[in-house]
Amino acid sequence: MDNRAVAPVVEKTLTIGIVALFLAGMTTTLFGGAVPAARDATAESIGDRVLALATERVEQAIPPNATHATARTRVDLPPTIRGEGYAIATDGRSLVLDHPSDAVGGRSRLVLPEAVTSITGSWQSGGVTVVVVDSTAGGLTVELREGTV
Amino acid sequence: MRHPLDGHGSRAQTGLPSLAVALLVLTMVTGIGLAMADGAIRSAERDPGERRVATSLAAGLVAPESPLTERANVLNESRLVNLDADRLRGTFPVAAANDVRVALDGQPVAVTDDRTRGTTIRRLVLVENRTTQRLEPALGWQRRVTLPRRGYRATLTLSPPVETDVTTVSASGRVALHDDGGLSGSYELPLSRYETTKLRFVANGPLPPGSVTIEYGAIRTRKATLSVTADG
Repeated sequence: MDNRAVAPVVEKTLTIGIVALFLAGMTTTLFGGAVPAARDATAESIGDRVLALATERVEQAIPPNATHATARTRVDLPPTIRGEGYAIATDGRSLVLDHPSDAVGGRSRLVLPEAVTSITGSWQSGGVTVVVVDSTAGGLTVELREGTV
Repeated sequence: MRHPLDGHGSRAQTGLPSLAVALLVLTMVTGIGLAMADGAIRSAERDPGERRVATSLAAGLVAPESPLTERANVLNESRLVNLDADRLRGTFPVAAANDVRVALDGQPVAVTDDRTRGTTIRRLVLVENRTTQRLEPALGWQRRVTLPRRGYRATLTLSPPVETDVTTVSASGRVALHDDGGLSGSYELPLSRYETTKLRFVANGPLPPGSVTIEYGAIRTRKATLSVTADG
């Protein structure tokens, strides 16, 4: 007759154990798989859009039908993607997005008039990002610059 | 006699199934929430490359410095008719590197690719058509004529009968031409585009029909939708 009083204790212990197991399992599933996957998917999409926006702004910075032009265009880019800073650099033909996460990145081909002879420079997110178009003897130069307008 | 704990104990055991049901419901809700979030992410995906090409080409076409426009968002109809795929590629480098379709009110204007997929950007524009209209008014006793459309200039040709001298022509109350010896021949009149012009003639004799001919430049605009589709 002593074990009668044990029944509620066993039941409560079981309940606590089951709920703890459930929470552990749920936390593992969510933070181990589902949430990072969703963040990666969102960050990938945002990264693509940022790259497209940067490409569009660089292309728009060059006045149409111009061989002699000087232009400074400020470009607004989000300071972070997936909570981390990133860089946009150029390799002479394209813009390249460089991000610490493997899921985010890409390359976008710049379409520029023939008068443009060189594209140089890079942007680090978080700063003031500017496209600088200048005339030289051979044609136009485009530079991605930070800090000054 | 029943022990008081008996009843309590058997009631407590019913807690386990209800816990199981609660956890099951919680799991299902979480699963549904995850699926909805996933669907939301997936449905928000779009092709930023195509969209960029279409947006920048549409912006370039309606910009004030575009070869097609008179001013921002106003396209010149004759230049629009002359636009073709080669001209589009030559003027806008972004059209040379991508497959694009430009259409006005659904009618293709310049097509570098005849597939029907892709991202479409639509812009509401005005299409301006400049024509020259000819008017030979029969002047009444007031010798007034109102130009039916506003325009930027008019050419006035006066050929009054020999015995009549036209001394003054006024446009909207302001004297535009005056000669006491009699006006004859062709005259250019600059007009205001912002008000309807009333011409008034002062002459010392009869002005039969045919003695005044007016050619005026008329601007007609109509609204249209410019759609640019890019297939990247």
